[in-house]
Amino acid sequence: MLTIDKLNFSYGDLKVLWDINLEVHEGEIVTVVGANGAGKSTTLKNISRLVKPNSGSITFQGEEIEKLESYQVVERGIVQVPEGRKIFSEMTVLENLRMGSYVKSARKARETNVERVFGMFPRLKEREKQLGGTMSGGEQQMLAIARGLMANPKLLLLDEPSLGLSPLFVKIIFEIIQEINRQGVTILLVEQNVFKSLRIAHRAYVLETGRVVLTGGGTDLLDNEHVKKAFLGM
Amino acid sequence: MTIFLQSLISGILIGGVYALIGIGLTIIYGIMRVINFAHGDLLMIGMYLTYELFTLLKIDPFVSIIITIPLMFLLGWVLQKVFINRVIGALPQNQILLTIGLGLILSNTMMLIYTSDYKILTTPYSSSSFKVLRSIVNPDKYENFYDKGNTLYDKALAAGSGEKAALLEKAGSKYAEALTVKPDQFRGLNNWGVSLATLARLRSGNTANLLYRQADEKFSQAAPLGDDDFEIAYNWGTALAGQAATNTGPEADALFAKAYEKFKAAEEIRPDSVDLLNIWSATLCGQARLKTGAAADKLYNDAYEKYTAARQVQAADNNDSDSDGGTATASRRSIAEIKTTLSQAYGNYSPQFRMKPDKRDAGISVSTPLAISFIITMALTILLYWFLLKTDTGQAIRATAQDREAAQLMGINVKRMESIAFGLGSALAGTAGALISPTYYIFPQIGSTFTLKAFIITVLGGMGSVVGATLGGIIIGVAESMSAVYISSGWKDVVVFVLFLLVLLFKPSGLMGKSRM
Amino acid sequence: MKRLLDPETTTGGASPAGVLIAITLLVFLFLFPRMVSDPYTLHIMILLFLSTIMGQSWNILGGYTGQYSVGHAAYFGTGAYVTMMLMQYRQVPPWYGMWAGMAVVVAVALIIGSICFRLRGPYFVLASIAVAEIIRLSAINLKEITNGAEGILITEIPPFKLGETVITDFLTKVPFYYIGLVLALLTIVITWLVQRSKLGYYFQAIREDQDAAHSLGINLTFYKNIALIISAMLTSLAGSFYAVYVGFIDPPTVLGLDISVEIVLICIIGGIGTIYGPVIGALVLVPLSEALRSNLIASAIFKTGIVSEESGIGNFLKENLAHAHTLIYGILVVVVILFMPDGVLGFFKALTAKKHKEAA
Repeated sequence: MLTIDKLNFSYGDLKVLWDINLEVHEGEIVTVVGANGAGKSTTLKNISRLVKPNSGSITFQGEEIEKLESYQVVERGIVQVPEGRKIFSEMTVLENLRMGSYVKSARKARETNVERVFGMFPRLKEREKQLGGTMSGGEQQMLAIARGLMANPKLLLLDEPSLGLSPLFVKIIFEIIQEINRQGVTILLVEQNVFKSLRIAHRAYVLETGRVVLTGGGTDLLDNEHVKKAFLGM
Repeated sequence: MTIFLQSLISGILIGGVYALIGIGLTIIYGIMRVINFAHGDLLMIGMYLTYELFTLLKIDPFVSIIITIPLMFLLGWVLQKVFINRVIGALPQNQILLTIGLGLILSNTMMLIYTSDYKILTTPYSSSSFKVLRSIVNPDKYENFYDKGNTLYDKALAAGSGEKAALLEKAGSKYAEALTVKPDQFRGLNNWGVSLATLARLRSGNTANLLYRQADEKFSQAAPLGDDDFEIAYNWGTALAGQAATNTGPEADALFAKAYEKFKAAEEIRPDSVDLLNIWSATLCGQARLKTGAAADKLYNDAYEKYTAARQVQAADNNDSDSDGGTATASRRSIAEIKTTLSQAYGNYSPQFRMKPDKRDAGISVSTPLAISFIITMALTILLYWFLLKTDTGQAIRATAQDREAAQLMGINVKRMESIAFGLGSALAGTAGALISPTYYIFPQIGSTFTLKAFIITVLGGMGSVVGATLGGIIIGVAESMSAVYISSGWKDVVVFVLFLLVLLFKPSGLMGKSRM
Repeated sequence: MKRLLDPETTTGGASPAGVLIAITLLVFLFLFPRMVSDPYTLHIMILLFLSTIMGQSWNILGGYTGQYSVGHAAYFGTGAYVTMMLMQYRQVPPWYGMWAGMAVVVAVALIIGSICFRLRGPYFVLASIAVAEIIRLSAINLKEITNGAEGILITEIPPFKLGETVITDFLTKVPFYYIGLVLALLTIVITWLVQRSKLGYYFQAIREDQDAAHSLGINLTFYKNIALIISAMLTSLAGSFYAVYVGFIDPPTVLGLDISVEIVLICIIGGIGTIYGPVIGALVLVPLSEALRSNLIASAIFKTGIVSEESGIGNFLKENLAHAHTLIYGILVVVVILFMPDGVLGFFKALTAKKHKEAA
């Protein structure tokens, strides 16, 4: 579904990604794990075209997308739920969701999608009229994911969804990710919570200082000695 | 209280236009983080556009915004695509200088086309106004009675002879009531005197004499209060002349003499009143008819002198040097000729009294064009709020302002939003220009004043806040008109700038805080 | 901090050839009035000096310290007004009046600094404009001391005497030429000294990153105020010089926003934060706007034969190009900001560097 081939990227003079190769197949949950600054988020930003790579190609469903603008990528069905949630703080929950279905292809299904995500996140329904900025971190993360779903994504990019959340919310978020996947949405997940994310992943990549150092099945990597040592403290 | 309300209302009205200017600037800043120093120049372009539409196509300025809005939107769109787009995310000083440069280009291009002469767009309603809150603003009983008396007197003049007397009596009683509330009002006394004298003219004999004497009393009270007032002297003299005509013998002569005294006083205040010269001449003429011989001739000569003076003033007023008469031929005319001329002139002469008008500050005076522009402003602001809050594009604009990156991830084409925002800002500035064009001078350099005002409004409300800009506009409008009244019109802009600095220093986030669109 | 490490802006090291050229140029400038006596040419030279002083003094605050004041008319106009008011109403000769002007300007600058330096970025720019506007409006309103909107016109300047000998009576443009030249050199030298000193280092640290400078222990408010005072004093000198040279001032011509913008422009066009920037800016702006003002450009166009002088366009050009010099300012700023953000010289340097690279 998504193929990244030899992606290189730098912020000014600082090179961040080195020849990244990555593949996501339809229906999968693929996780990218790695320490802070390993280049996980940057990889996602390259896919969603917030930044432009120096070289390499990104192909989505047979189409090269590295020349497209962000909004065109969203129209193709790639939707990113950004790190730090980035809720529109002066908009209500409902308005945030409406913005999620801004692209033309999603506008028709707006009402049914609102019902769908309210079904998944009853908490959001209760706070329909509340301003986004006034909600708790966990609620904002739910809203961010719900907002992402509003665009009918084929591929959902999740950037650190569990960051800064209480254990209870972390548990809920991971359950939701699996639920979304079961509904047919392919997921590319970037996480610092290595243990939990590898457990739900079909396949995973390990990034270190901008390079892919390991790849394999999610549970396989959980047993990998390097992963255990580096991330799980075992 | 009246002055306060007056300046409050006119402040709010102009504040509506300021709000439009501020909202435009704040939308541009909110989306692009660019401070548009060409904002006032866009307003100036809107003014010239309106001016041309009015002079070439005779389209009313308030109607022409239908054309101005899309044209200005287009101009803003193009400016954004060609220039502003290239400095988004650049150093703020470079953005500022770029827009300053654009402003210079706009204003100087207009100067090349139109020169820097002031243009005035005069509509039939440009300087008209109407009054509101008459009864609320002047709860003063005196004013109420006074106003009622005036209304009744006006009615009496228009009424047929049957009702006339009754209406005049009623008017008199209103003035009487007014003066029991406040005994020292010369306007009321004058008008009371006038209504008594007018009534006296309808009567004869002793009744008339009595009424004239009452009128005389009112005028004699009014005269010292209304310091050097022309109307009082004029009316007094006219009433005395009327009274003299109902008398005979030495009594009449004494009254005539007193009347001339009043006319002379009135002449000293206003030497060029045709009405005064005419009544004077007619009175002299009237007295002459009662005399014979040299005494009569002298009066006729005096009357003729006043008559020619009146013609001269009239001729001067009409700028018409060829009109008949003139002093050169006056001395050569015989008494007989003079008599004919005078009787032709004053045969049917019935002198008019002069009423004191309604008290000028009764009610709040509202400029008609400003009131119309305020209504349009409000309608546009509501429309804009609806657009920003309820439509997809409007929400996308707000989303871009709140979090540009998140907006991109929603599939919003932020570049397009920027063009729309600049177009919108430009259209709002242009509309404001159109709305004020009937009341302001139009010239190429007018922009910078409004650019500065727009900043002040925007900073006051909080940069990027539409609600803040709306409030800020009204606040600045009121502050300006208040300081123009209570401090001085020369210093009013200083007051606004000081206010601006104070806000910058003590509440730099603006009155609406960090709220963004 | 990249710019800080750029050797050119910090050391200003001079090669022997450079020194030789500078000395030749200086000698030439000092001998110039002996070679050319045409008053118009001298007038242009005087305007060049004036623009250089204006640009260079802004440069210290805007270019080196990064505080984009768009309100320098406040200092220019205050200097001009104090000098003229003293001369007109108190018969104080301008060479004393200008010091009084500077003193007043320092006081004004301290007030402005205490208000504006609490603000950053666009807020600082807006505040600087607001303060200048307040001063302009006050000059209009305080009729008793400034003669309001009518302005001040002087008809003669008292001769400048040392003891009993008359040095000059200011009847030609030559004395103004030398005063302008000396003042221009003075501002350039002061800027150069500042740039080389520890002060200049602090200024540039503040420009590059205020917070970093603060964390290095640099007292931001103090050094910003120092930069402002130096800048304001030199601008005040320029104002006094202008007022006496032209002999007439009124609020819009010496206190208007246009003046503030022009001062910034001189610097921007030449390249900010460099010694030569304001000189280049003056060399570009002054001849260009003078050429427009005196219709040189229109006649040049007619000479080429593209447009006939009698045609409609020709007439339009003849009548209007003279008023177009502010339009040219506008176009210049836009072009400079969009295509040469480092100024004219920076642009050509980058261009040649690129050519070198391509050649290599």
